[in-house]
Amino acid sequence: MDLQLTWFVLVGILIAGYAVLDGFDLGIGVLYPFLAKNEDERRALRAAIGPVWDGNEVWLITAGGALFAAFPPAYATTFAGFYPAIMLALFGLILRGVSLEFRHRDENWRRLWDGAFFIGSLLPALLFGVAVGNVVRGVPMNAAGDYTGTFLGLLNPFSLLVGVTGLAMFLTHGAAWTAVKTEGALHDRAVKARSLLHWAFVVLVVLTTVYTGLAVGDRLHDSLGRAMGWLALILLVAGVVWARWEMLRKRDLGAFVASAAAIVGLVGLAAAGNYPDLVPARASAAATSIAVDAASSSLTLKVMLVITLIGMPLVLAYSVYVYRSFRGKVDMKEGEY
Amino acid sequence: MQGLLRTSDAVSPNVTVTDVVGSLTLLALIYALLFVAWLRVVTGIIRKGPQGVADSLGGTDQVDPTPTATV
Repeated sequence: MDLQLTWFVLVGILIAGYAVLDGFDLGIGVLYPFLAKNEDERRALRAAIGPVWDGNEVWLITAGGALFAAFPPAYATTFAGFYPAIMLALFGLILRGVSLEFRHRDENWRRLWDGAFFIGSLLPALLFGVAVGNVVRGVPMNAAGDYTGTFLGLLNPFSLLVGVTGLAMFLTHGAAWTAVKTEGALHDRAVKARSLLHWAFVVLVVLTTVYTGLAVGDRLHDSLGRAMGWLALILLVAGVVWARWEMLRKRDLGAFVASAAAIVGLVGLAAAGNYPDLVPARASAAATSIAVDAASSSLTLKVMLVITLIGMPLVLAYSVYVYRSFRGKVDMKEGEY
Repeated sequence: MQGLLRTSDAVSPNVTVTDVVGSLTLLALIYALLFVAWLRVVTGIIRKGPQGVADSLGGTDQVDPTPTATV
């Protein structure tokens, strides 16, 4: 496997890892006002993600950093072109992080922090999907790779549909994690929400697939991209069916793991569908797409690979340690483990 | 390295002044809110005093409020 393909796959893994890990805590943030009915339940929901949410967000930073270092033109086009949307997502992430830290220290502003947690989770959960939708649809840009569209142009029907699909994916994943970590009435509510949201996710994925065929056309013109696309599609379908099976068997952890598999499949499908392009130009634009050959030098990619091979096992080991340390259900009265 | 890549050449052409002013204003507002929130929390901790904080943490030991200097 050559270096450019390796880094294409690695950036994809980082984005998928972020979607799987931060996906459930973003989902819980959006579900928070609807699932929790009293103070104990709100505390339990916050405790369900308390020890892990900030570690999960590290994956977003590494994905952005890897894109910057490995494929600078793709980073420049998307981060500059989607600037207002990215800033809104960033403000959301600031608000939710702070709200989690301040909520239990400032009882008089509870409602404000609860609202900030909800809005701060909703903005990134929706906007990440909108960004992916725009990349799949093709980005209007000039020959220099500069984005030539507008902010409102990012909110086109196709990208909004992908955004809502991504939101449904995160909500399903969040409800699945809530079912794993809680007991009693909150657990039962999460199980009901998980089932409904899973159906909504399935319907939205089908709609998005049909719309992709109409709005984008067949992108799988590269044989390697097609092979990766088929693998991702199989993982997506298997994850969706497996999740429903686990839900019927009332196995919460199994449903969560299956939901994670479906997320990896969907992110993989979006990435593989574009291969070898990273940021395809919109068909009507007089510009060439930014492909994997717009990578940094071989030396840069090699140095990054060595750093990744050292860093990745450390991150994985840390993650396993944290999730093992805080395994099991949250104490519903104390909001502790 | 001066002169190799001038700041004016590195500016994103599609990011408008409105985008930058808007995001900077929002950032200032959010951090102003955070400053007020931080002041409230810190003032609350100071009002409670060392014993109050120890009690709220579940501790029973007496806390000596005198700062100790170490060299």
